[in-house]
Amino acid sequence: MAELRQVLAGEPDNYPARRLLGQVYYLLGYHRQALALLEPYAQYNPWDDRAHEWLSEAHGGPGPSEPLILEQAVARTVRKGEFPVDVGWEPRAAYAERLAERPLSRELVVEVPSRLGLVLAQRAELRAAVWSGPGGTEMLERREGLTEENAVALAEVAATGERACLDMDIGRLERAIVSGPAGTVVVVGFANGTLVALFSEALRSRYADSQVTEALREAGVVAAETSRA
Amino acid sequence: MREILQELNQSVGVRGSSVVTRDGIVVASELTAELDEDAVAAMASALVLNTISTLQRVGFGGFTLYTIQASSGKMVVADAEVAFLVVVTDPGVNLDLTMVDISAASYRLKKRGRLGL
Repeated sequence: MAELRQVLAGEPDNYPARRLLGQVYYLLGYHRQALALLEPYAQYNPWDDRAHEWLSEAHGGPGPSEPLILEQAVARTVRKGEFPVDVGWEPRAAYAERLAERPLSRELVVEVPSRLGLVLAQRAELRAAVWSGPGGTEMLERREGLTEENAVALAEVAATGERACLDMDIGRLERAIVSGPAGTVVVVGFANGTLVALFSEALRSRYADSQVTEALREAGVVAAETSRA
Repeated sequence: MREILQELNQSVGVRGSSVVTRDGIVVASELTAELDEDAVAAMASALVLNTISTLQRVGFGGFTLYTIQASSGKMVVADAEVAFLVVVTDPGVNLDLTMVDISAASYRLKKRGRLGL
């Protein structure tokens, strides 16, 4: 956004940048700012139906994007414990009500990652299992041909998935499965870390996923209620 | 291509779908108004490319399907050879059922790609 603002400061007639920044403001609920950008744009390009839709919604108040903004704001608060003081819409009371209705999240907690590693190691098709938590990355199990460096690579896969969930604003990563001709990777997000299990190509992704679920049960991993903040 | 996506979007819980090239350019998109197609394309492309390049270090090679389940939504990225099919769904949807439709759409996209349509 800062870059777009910079572009517009130098070139106020850059209409593609004006439309894009106006759209971002509109989607974030900053309707006053969206109007200031989109009104001149709509005069420049009166055939852009979508921009006209945003304009009319922005003129009419919170518009249809409000439920989404509300939902995203609630999710962000639940995840990060931050109150979104920067939201540009008015109905704070609705936000407070929605947050109060939200139940405490139930997240999985792994007390002893090494125990999880031992249980996973009994699966013949497992090639590697990595635990990544606040204490760093730990190779729980590794089969022939894999090195400690591979543990770091697998932890990076989990980190990429976690980052994508945050960027997409779809909440906290719970599970990810990557399947390909050479194997299946299952990532499970916990309240206190992330597990990555790599299975050989012999195991289909759905079965790899159930192997992990079974291992979690055997290792005594439980869902625990955690506070919103 | 749009009709394939529109058909896929009729599946239960699907919020939208799009076809994205490997460098993050949207080829076709049928996403609901609250999802920004450029943002979804950029994130899906970054997610898949970063993951695959990391996994190549453990000899994983390419991918066919990437499903991601988060507390407020799910996303599926399927390899359609010349591009990715990106599908965003509701958090509560049963992916086992929707996956049949996603695989069918991905197959049709691959076929079109091969025929150069």
